[in-house]
Amino acid sequence: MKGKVDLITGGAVFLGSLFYMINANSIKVFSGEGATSINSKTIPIIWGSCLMLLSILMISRYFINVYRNRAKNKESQNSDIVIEERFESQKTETVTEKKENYRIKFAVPLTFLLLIAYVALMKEAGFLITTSAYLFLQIVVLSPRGKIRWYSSASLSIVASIVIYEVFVRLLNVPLPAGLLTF
Amino acid sequence: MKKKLVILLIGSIVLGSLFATGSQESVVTNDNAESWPDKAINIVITSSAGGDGDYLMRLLANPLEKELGVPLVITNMAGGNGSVGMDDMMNKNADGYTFYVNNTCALSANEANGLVDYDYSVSDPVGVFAKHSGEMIWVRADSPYMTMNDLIKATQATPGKLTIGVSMGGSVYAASLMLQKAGAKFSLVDASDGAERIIALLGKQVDCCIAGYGIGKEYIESGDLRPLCTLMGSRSKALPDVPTAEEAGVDGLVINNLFLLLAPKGTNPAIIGKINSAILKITNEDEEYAAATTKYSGQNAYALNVQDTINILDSTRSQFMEISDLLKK
Amino acid sequence: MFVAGFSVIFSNPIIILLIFLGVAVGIIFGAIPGLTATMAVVMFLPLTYTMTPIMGIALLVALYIGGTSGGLISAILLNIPGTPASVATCFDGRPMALKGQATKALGVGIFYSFLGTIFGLLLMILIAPLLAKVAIMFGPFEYCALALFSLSLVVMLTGKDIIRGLMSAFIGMMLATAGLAPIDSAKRFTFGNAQMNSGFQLLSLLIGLYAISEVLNAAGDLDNPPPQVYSGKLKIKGLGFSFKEFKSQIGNFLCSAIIGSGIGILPGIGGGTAGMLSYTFVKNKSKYSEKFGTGIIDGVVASETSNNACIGGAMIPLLTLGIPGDGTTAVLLGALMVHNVSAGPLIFQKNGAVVYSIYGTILVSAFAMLVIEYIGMRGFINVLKIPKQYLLPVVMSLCFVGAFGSSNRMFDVYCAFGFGILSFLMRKGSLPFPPVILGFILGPLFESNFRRVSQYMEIDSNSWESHPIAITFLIITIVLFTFNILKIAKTKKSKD
Repeated sequence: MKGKVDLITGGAVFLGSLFYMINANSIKVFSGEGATSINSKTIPIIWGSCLMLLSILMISRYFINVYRNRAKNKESQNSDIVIEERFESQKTETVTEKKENYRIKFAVPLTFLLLIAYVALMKEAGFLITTSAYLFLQIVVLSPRGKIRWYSSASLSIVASIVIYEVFVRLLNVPLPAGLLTF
Repeated sequence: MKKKLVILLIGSIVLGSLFATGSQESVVTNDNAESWPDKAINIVITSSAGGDGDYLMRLLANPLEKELGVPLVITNMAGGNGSVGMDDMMNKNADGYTFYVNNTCALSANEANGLVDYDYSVSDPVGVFAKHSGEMIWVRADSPYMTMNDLIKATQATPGKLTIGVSMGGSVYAASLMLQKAGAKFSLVDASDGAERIIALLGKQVDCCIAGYGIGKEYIESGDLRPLCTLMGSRSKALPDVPTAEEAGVDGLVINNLFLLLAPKGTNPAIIGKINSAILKITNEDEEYAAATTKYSGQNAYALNVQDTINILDSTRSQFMEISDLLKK
Repeated sequence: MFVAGFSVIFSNPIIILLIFLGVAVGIIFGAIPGLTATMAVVMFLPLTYTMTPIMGIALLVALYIGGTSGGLISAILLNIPGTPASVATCFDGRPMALKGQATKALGVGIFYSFLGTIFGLLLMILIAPLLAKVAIMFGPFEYCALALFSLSLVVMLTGKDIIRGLMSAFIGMMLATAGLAPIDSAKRFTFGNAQMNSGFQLLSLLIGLYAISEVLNAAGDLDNPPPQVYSGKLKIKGLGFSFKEFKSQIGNFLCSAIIGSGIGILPGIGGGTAGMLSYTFVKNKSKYSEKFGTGIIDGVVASETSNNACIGGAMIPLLTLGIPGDGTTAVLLGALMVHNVSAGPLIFQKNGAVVYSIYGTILVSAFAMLVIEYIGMRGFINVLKIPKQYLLPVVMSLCFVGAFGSSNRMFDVYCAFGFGILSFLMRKGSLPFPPVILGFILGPLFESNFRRVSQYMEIDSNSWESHPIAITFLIITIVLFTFNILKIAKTKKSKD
């Protein structure tokens, strides 16, 4: 799996540059006074091609390495077996341990979800509500195993949101979305 | 048990916010015109801080606040030659508490060159409140051109060799196209924004350029640059000896750029009338404001009522749409 | 007149207080990721309307200096640059903090920020008019060559895997092409969305790549967090670093200061690029360049000297030409106009007192920054003690506020989130972040000037001959680039 990083990255970047180039094609070319042969399409196409080239180089590098390591494959097969054994020797867990396991296992996707929700709801629900909710939930997600402090997290979230809101809206004139709370 | 309570509380707030009808800013009916304004008014400037429109609006804001009796909250929303701000406006409620600053040339130029597909009628114009300091055509003081005629003849003698620094796509570009139409044979070169164009001229990269009075005025005094004409319809108050482009012989080259206030479409006309009268009053009566304006832009304090504003918008629009295909290329 | 203007600052205690206040607030703005020096200056501008010119401008300049310097705090402690100017400080600042040398990193950063500011100030005082003439000489040809030169330095930033480094750089450049094209304003990659017309903002990119990735990393490391090296009492001896170390950095300091001020003098580039270029340059010429990135003071010295020297540099075209060097100086120009100071060639004749008072302000601000940050250092280190689960979400929230606050639209917040996703994917693919930033900033600089060069060449195909500066830069670029490629190829060969 470690070696495959090159392949996946190269592939993803290739697709990305392809998408870019396809969209670059529809850029309007200016032909009025002052136009030259270098137009708004030129540079994007150059950048896109370079990136595409780099991704191809990366994919080729992957395959070159694969060929080089063919000889060493037999050794790596043994190490796979060792890893599988470790997973089998797990004990049964309590309910809270299980919940914590899920939380920590899914911490990254949960964080993503929280960020999406925060950003998406901010305009509608307003800064105060979304920030309090986000802070509280994100603190919970990021807490070390077994060390969630519900009360301090909740109170910190609400206090922090209010402080930030007041400082920015009243003091600094930054119009943060008020959303549902009109006052 | 207790922690479940807390989660429930936060969760219900979030869920509640999802399902509650998202009420937007305060619902306003037409009866509010009488009590308007009764809270702070937002003014969004569609260009960045420090520029002409920004400064002139802030200059006006001081007396305007006193006249209207409520605070004015000024913010900037720059980008796309004002189109980002316009986009924001088109999604705003017409409750009479948010207004947008733009200029007549940007509105027309954006439509004429295809950047946007709408004209000023997506908004309710409130009124012109200031004149732009005026674009001028500049040459270096040590150059042999003393009048526009000299300059144009020189380009005709060596077609394509003399360069004029412009910013492509906007009103300055339109001006240069009109110059070419009038017989000049420049080569157009892009030199970024006004300040950069003046530097390009000073650094001898271009032979002449079009730039605002405000940016170049120091160089007249220092003896480095010479303005040959102004593109506005009338002479600049600060430089009464500099002819307008038309006076100097270039027919049809008039770019009157005016700053104006816009309101989201559907704003109560009574409210618009109130602001407009306030602006007119300040422009005609406030001497301190007038002096500050002239000091900054070299133009008189200037404002128009709503109907005149609409007329100017129409005429500027047709002016730009005439050369639309040249701009759209 | 020089003495008169200069001493106005010192004789008036109110102004000194204002300056200290400005620097303190500036540092706060700079230290909080998402808030920038530009925002600080914009927000306080209306407040200065009622002040005298010297007072108002002093406050704004103090904010500017504090804001540029404050970024190093979060860069070192959180690996999130507080302002774009401090991106390069993360490279070695953060590893130093992880090694338990946070005090040293902060001390070095603060002290060299101070020195860099003073260097820029000296340049201003001594040769401002001369440098202004140099600034005028830079046109599209020169900028194009400079952009190419800087981009080529990316090779040095990439470390061992050139392909990945170049990929990051191109990704950055491609992200920057979104929006309206330079010159003809053609819509590129806007997908019919009017909000996309102004393209992506650097701030959104920084928040996504640095702040969001920090939060995601913390989420991923819950069961094996990096060891807490900074608990217990912290002793701060003197400046945090030794005299011997100071002597060893003199060369680095001078190079970085010159590069920083040079970038500042050229309008349109900014402190972040200055920091990165100095870092790369110093790394390039160092005898132990492999150590860069592992936590050595050289990196912090280079970055912080440079971004503060950039301030002095940027003030030169601002005052003597009336041309702003970057976003913050553009607002300062507006402020000068508001206070009836006519920036331009006649500023010494017409507003000499103000100019000299600005010199005084910069000097006092530099000292204020030194004092405030040293006093605050203990407090800053304690930030490291706040458990990550509380610190990071609050920082994240502030970042979004900052992203919203700079342009007043949610779009930039959405972009920041999008870049957060990008940072996650890039980390999975081991693509480095710094080249993305460099590419994002330098790409447009290169493109717009390259296209202008083509306009000039179209008119006169020999016009390049009259641009010796550009030609010199190009030659240096080619030489350095080939040299570096060969060096990397040699080390690869010797590995195999």
